[in-house]
Amino acid sequence: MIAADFRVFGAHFRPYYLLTLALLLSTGKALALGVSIDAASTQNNKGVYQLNADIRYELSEEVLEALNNGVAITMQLTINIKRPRAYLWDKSIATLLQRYALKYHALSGQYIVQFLSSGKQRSYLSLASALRALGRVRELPILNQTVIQVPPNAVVHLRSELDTNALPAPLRPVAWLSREWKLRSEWFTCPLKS
Amino acid sequence: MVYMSLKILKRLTTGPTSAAVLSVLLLLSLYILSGATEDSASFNQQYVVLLITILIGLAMLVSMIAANVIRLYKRYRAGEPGSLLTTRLLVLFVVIAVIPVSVVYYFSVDFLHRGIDSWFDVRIEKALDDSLELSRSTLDSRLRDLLRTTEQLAVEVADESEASAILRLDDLRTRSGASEMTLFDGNRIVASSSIKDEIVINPNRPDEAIFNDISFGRNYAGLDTIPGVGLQIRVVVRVPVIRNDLEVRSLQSLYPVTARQRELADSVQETFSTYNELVYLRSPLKYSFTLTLSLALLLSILSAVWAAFYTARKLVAPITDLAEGTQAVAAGDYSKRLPLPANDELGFLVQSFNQMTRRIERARNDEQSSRNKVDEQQAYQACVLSNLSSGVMTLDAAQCLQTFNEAASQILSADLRLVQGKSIHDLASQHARLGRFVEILLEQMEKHQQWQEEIILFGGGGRQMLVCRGVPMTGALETSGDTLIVFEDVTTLMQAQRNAAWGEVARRLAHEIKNPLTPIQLSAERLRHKYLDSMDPESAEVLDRSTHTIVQQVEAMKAMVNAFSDYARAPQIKLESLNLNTVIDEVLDLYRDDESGLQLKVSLDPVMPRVEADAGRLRQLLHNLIKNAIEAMQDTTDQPIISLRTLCMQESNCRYVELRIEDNGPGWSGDKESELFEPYVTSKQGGTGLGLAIVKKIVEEHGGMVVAEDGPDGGASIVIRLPVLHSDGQDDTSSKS
Repeated sequence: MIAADFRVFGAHFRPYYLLTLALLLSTGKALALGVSIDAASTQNNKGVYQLNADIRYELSEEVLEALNNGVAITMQLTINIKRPRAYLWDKSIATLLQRYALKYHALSGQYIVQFLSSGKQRSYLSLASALRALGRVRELPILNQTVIQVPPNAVVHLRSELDTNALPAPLRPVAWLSREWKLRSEWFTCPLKS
Repeated sequence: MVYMSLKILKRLTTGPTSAAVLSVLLLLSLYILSGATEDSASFNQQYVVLLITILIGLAMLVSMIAANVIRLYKRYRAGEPGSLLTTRLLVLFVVIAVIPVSVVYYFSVDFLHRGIDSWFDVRIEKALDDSLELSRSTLDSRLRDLLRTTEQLAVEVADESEASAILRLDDLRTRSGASEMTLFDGNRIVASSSIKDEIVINPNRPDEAIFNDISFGRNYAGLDTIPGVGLQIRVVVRVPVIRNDLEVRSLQSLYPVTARQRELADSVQETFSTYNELVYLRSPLKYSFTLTLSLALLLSILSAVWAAFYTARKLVAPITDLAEGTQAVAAGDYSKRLPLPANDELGFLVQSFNQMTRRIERARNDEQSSRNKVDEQQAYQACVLSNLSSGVMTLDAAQCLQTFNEAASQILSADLRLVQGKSIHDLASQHARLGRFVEILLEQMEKHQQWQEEIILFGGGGRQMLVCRGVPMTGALETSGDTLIVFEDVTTLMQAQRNAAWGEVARRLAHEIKNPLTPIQLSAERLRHKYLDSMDPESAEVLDRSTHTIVQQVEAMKAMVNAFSDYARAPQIKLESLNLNTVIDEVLDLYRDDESGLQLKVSLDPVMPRVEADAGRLRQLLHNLIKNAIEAMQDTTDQPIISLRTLCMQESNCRYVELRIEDNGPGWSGDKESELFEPYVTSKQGGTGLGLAIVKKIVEEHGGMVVAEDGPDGGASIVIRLPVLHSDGQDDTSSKS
């Protein structure tokens, strides 16, 4: 029945719709092909824990096409500080979300990276430099020692992903169904150095 | 338990409610799904879940329909009534539902795509591209001017050391109109800078790529968006190296764009970007809408198909019931009642059918019961007829024998079954002695009125007197013209009447004769006594002989009169239950040592039921018969043999004991059997002729019968039959003792 519909209205459909439908019936396991965290570490700078991380972003064709057509791509860095426990699951101490928007400025032909939490933005001549800048996290304050008592064995889990919910509404179904849009890194763990 | 659970589950999954609920849920899910594409944030996360739920629901609908299709196919293959009609209705419903929905779907999708496409126009796109291009080219000429200016400024700072450059930069910045001017050293570190806006402390830093370009000798000029400031023109040039102690340095100048220019550029950028995004999103938008629409179509069609199944089944069910009911009625089962489907025309039809079968059933039951009554009546009549002692026959108009009873056969001594359905003439031709009987019947029947006649038949059994009555039957068409004939054998009755008359004669005779005999005898003896001695010897001899003769004859006459008297007198019979064999044994004991050489052959049935009889009378009977036989054989044979045989017999529901006495004498030698038992009939000299008459009387007193016939070896044979005591069982063990 669905195949018949595709034949009738074939002019309006693209082959990847079939792929998405097939994906619906398969397991929706997230793939971390596009984003990976190469390194991460923390430091204590005068009572403030800071995070340094090197994240590599490799955008898929679909995402690139959307980006170059004016769609803003939002990346989200999730940072979880946890205290491991032997007998129970890890206790969450703090959770931090950092969101960055990447968009193309057609007039200047540059890519703009905007830090959504601070509102600051920077433009880059090329996408590569923009992504590089996006992936270079330096001295990001994540916790103030004076506010929260941190146990010595606390660890930091971090993960970066493309936030599909921030996409324009019509693009969302495609993004939810397509693995091209599933840009998400594995969880990376590093100790919280005091 | 499991079976019941399965049944409930099946009912839940196949019932109309579940399908309706499923359809409504799916519809709701579709609504939410379409909402999700319209930025309804609350359901955003559940988009995939919703989609999967809908697909599972659709799969369930498909499986339900498939189950229905399979069931229908099986019913169709099995040739069940109603399956063909269901299929036709189903196809009709499906066609009616699917075609319009499909047409609407086609046009909806087409309209949707055209509608979305119509938002976009190639000319607008081109205009936007052109405006962007125009903006760029406008800015480009300015960029080139500014690049040239900055390159000249770079020459001016070429010989400035880092320490002295600050003042120079201020001057140059003011002169060139730049908002910010920064000198970077060889390590790409800010050497000195001049910023128009005093609030800004840190100078803006160009991209590393620009520095790389500079190191390759490529100067940079471009539009850049500066945080907090907005669009600016950034120019980065290489500072010529004129002194050996100086490294390769870069000079960056940020030139402001006029407010109007910035506004226009932002507007162009924003519009272009938005439009471009919309163009790009056109395809996913169509995809989302088409997917939702397709799912809605699938849901509608599947629901419609399922509803078609349900409706067709509901519609056809009463018709199927009616077909089955009609078949049942045709097969003779009128007890079939159909369930009432609804209060509509079909319901009315089913109700009428139920009424019809109910009435037919009632009528059939009535007919059956009346037929049973007729059968009972007939059986009753047949029973009455068969137990009648009178003979009954019916003859039809063609004088053929139609019905008869057992007594008719017995009275006529003919097997009437052989002539049933045949002409009564056949009866006459088969039994010559019935010729007279048939002749009179036919004669009377011609008169067609009620008649009565006494008919005397002569045959092997002797004279037989029948009283015959005929009635022409009227009334029912079938039997109209038939004649009912009833006849009775009154021979025995006449005989009894004659016997009674004889008894009366004998009694009177004995009474009248016996009275004067004694005075005669006494007178004769007195004469003899008085005058014998006084008379002369001659006269005395005459007197003596005469008186002796008188006395002797009177004695003889007395004996004869006594015998008459015995016959006539009927003493009270004393019935008691006894075994005939015992009585026979007792009597025979008297004859066993007979000097005349009498030989007795006795064969007594060991299984002998008891009879109700007067033992004394039975002894008299046996003595009479044995004496009779002995006397008959006295002069004819030297080896007299008497054989006695008893048997228990059963004939047409009547058990009786048979005693057969045979001798080897001359037999009845042409004596008429019917007259043998009449008083004063004798073939012997000196016999009173009352022996067999008394035998017959005794037998009749016991309710039995006696028959005289010639034995198989030529001797005489007497057969006596006595009824068995009713209370006596078939296996009477007392007789065995």
